[in-house]
Amino acid sequence: MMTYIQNHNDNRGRSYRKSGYIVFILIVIIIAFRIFMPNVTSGFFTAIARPFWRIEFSINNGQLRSNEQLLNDNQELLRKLEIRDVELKSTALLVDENEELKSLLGRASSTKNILAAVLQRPPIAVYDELVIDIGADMGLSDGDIVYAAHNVPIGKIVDISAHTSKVLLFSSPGQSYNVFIGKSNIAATAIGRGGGQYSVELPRSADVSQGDHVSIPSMRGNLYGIVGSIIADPSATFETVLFSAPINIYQLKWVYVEKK
Amino acid sequence: MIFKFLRRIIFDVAILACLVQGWWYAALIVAVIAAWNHKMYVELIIAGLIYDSLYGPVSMNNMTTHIGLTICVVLFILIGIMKKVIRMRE
Repeated sequence: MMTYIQNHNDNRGRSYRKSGYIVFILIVIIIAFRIFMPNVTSGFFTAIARPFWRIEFSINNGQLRSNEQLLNDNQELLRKLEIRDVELKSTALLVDENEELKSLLGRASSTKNILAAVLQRPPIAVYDELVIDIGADMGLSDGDIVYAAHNVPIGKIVDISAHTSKVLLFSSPGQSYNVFIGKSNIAATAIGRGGGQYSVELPRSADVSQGDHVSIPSMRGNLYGIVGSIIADPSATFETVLFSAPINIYQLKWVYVEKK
Repeated sequence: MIFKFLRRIIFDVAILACLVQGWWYAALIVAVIAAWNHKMYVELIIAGLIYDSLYGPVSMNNMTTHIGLTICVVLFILIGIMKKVIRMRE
């Protein structure tokens, strides 16, 4: 009587090959979707994640607190509002005068700004982006500029879903923008380093020092950043100026979008 | 069998929760552990797809917008090879 030892290796090898083919086909399908219909997957998963982001945002902003707590907060905010109202009236006069002068010179601004809540923001994110809670429903379009408090430009809209949008930060690695830097408003190109940090290459003779302001060449003259440090190699003809946005992008809760 | 299936579901839910929160590092660790303990853990690849879809600038559509998917595919293949090499049986 012959005894046959069953060889499992062939079966296992066939099983691995079959699994490999299935995985390969899955990867090809995913890549095809990402190349030819990138917004389909983005819109689908964003629609799933959005309710969770909204709930987290509500909790972080205290919208689930008790009525008594809300009433107390309301009173406190009303009191602060009265103080701010007085300060606002004095600055309103200056703003009106500014707009009047601009309109006389043919440079009146007519921007439409929309407030947006930041649902997700980088910390330690691979992509230097924010996710905000407005999208095609509020008429946003690609390239709309996004500002933080005090008119600080921080990014632009890149992906728009039905109710959310992604904001590509200006400080994203590889992004570059024209800026004016220093007291002499030296024209330069700022390159993003991620996380609200930028670098600029300037000649060593440039009159730039720590704490100098960086602005963008636009009519509004927004503050873009503040020089943090200067790396100068005595043997090199250029120095590297590092500056950062004047706001902490990791703590942003609200931004506003300037519609084109 | 049922225990393994439930364990796989738990891992999947944990990965999804980490991705929705934006904790890609936590999701990656959990996914790698799950891929090591389960056969054909394609959820690792899907996790990379989800991360890129949620947080990547898809409209730019170049290699830098597929970092999550690329890393997860590479990890999936590497873990599969390592498991085969050390003959880990499930």
